[in-house]
Amino acid sequence: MDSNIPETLTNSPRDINDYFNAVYADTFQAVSRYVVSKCGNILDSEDILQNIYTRFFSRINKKGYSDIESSEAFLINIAKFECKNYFGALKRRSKTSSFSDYSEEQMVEIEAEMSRHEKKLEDVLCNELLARQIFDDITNDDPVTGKIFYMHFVLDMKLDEIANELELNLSSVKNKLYRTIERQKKKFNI
Amino acid sequence: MNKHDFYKEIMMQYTFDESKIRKNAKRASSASFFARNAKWMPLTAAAAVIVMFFGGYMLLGLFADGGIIDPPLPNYNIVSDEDRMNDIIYREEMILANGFSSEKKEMYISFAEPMTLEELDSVLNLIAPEDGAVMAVALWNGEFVDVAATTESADNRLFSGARIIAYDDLYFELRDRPEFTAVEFQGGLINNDNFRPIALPHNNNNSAIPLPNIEEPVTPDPADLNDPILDPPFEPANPNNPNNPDNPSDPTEPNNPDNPSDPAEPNDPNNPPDPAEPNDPDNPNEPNEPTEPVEEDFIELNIDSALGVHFINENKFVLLTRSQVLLYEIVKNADGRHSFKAVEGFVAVNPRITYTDAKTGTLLIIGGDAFGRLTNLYMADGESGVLRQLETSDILQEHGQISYALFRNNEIVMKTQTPNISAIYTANRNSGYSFSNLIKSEDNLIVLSLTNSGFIYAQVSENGELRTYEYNARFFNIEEIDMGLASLGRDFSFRRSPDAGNFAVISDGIAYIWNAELATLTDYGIEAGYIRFHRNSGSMFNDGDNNWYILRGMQILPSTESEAERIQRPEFSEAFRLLEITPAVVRIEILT
Repeated sequence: MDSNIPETLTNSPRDINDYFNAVYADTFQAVSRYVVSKCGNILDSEDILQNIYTRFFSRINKKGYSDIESSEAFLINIAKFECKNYFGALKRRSKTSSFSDYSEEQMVEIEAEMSRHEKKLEDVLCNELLARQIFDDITNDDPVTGKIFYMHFVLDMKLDEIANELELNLSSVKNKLYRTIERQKKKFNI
Repeated sequence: MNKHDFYKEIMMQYTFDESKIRKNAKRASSASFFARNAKWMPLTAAAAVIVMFFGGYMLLGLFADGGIIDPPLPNYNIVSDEDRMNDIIYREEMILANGFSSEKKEMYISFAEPMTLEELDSVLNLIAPEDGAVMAVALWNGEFVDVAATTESADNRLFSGARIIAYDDLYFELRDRPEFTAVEFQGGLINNDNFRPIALPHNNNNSAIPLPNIEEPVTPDPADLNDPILDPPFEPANPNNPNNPDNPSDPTEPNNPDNPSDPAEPNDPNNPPDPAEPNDPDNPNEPNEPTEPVEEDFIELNIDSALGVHFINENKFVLLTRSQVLLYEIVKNADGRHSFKAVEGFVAVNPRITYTDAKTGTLLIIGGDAFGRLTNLYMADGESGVLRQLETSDILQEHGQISYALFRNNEIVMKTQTPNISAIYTANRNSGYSFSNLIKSEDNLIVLSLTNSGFIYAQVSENGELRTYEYNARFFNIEEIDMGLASLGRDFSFRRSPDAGNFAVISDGIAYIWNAELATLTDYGIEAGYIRFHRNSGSMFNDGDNNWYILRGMQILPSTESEAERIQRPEFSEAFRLLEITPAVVRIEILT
């Protein structure tokens, strides 16, 4: 059984609730990572995650959870089902080579700038309208950019890992990420 | 904070609402598995059986007053798709727990798209090229046809499902094929008699489509029904003015020439209308019959308490009834005849159109809950052809109502009202039309006009003090603007045009017209206590006696009755047109 998940024999509503909450906290990152990498548009991923956890709760409510060895594996299995049927057939992207717009030196410079402390960023975060606009700008750019941002900044994935997961080449991932960052610098003065 | 942390915060805050997902998972699970939008309605004494609505098929019983939407498929012990999916998941768990037996088993397959036997064989060969490892036994197109029969006739019929025999350890490879939507073992819920393909939402745009669910529709008390009127809501500036009671529940359909002028009489439960038979279930389409051109001038749908029909694109229309908001698609069958395919549906008491987007055909629809409170907002997107319910329950909670919602350039502006608080919310396509609050006030807020970058609104205090503001989304700010209304005194009212562009302010018998293009409010000397904009045009209005046309620039010109009649509602379908609508029947004319 999962290490942090309480074992219980009663399957009472309260136990099921506790179990669900523990599994949710334990698995959300892994499941959201899977969904984000499979979804066409990151904005669809919340609906899919909702379906997955709703289905999971319904299942443990009706049939208990004592037979579930690994809740993460179980949820990923549901996620496969949901993703597949949510989008139909995903087209496989053909791998074509492309050149990155950014040289190594430029990328190092951008990354160094990303690490610098800037007071105004906190003010921007507090401005809900502006923060929302920045998010919309990222996800509106193209369907993949939002996924790259989420996987890199929230899931802490390296760019080559992201490229592998999304079946893109590394230069495409870099282009999308750094181009968006540079554009937002000018557009929103951040 | 550095930029790395900044982007982390932004993406975490706005990508998922983790607490909402967790909360909704438990809430939705206890109501209905897929229907996050399900609203339970109390059953009346003559109430209908629960209706599950899915894809092109509808399981139904009789509604309280006898309407039938689609005939049930005969002799079918139909299992809901929800139960089937649950069963699939359960059996997969058993497989993962116990492993495969490596024996041959019969399975039922649902196809994502119809295919021929030859195409199916190609797919199966990809999975298991060796002879006999997997083979199709029968194909489904309304009923099962043995494979031997199809090969003998050597035709190219299309099928939507199949029964196969395969080693059970091929199950996951079969399941993961993009050509298939579901694979089910025989011996479960499905058998040869009740099989039909699971037709999950097929969405080319990859945008979310909630699975439809209609449950226990309520027949409202006819005494509560209001006559529909054809203008945008009349908004008194001063809610305390006893002559102008604020009436957010005024049912109006500004762009609905199809609306019957009299309220529909409820059907006599002892004499229900005849059931519709757009597709005769006893004679399923025979794809191999000669395809001679079929002459069909119109098609008919029997429906209970129809209120209005609105095409949103070439072949999809929204149908409003007294208790539902429905999306239908008109499809052409193999025999050349047209039929109606029910795509989506929601329960809503007395739904009405609150906005029609003249460019895209997109509709915003408000509907009531079981108590008649206007809490439900639906969007029928003309571009994607999707009908969805937008989430408003967190906003409205126990006492709030939606006054109206407006739409332009993929942005929705919605006004809500509780007994003490007026609020304006916005939502846009990029956020999945998730609403965020912009302004809340104890004063009355009235959205007057949509602009290219936001909207103009009035804020009217209890003592009648009026201020006007413009919200600019591009610069994220709200600025007070002086329209010169301060000199008008305390008693005035507003009238918004159907496209929420121009508007009129009426005070002391004088009508002042806001020209949206010039952003000016002008006294043209029109003496009127009442202004009505043309239902199909924001550039024409009537002052009670005369029609006026707002030209580019400062002028307005008198306009004749015939000119007003010539302004037609934009058509979003060139192939079909509403011919007639009565409370019991909808007739659609076929133009092409």
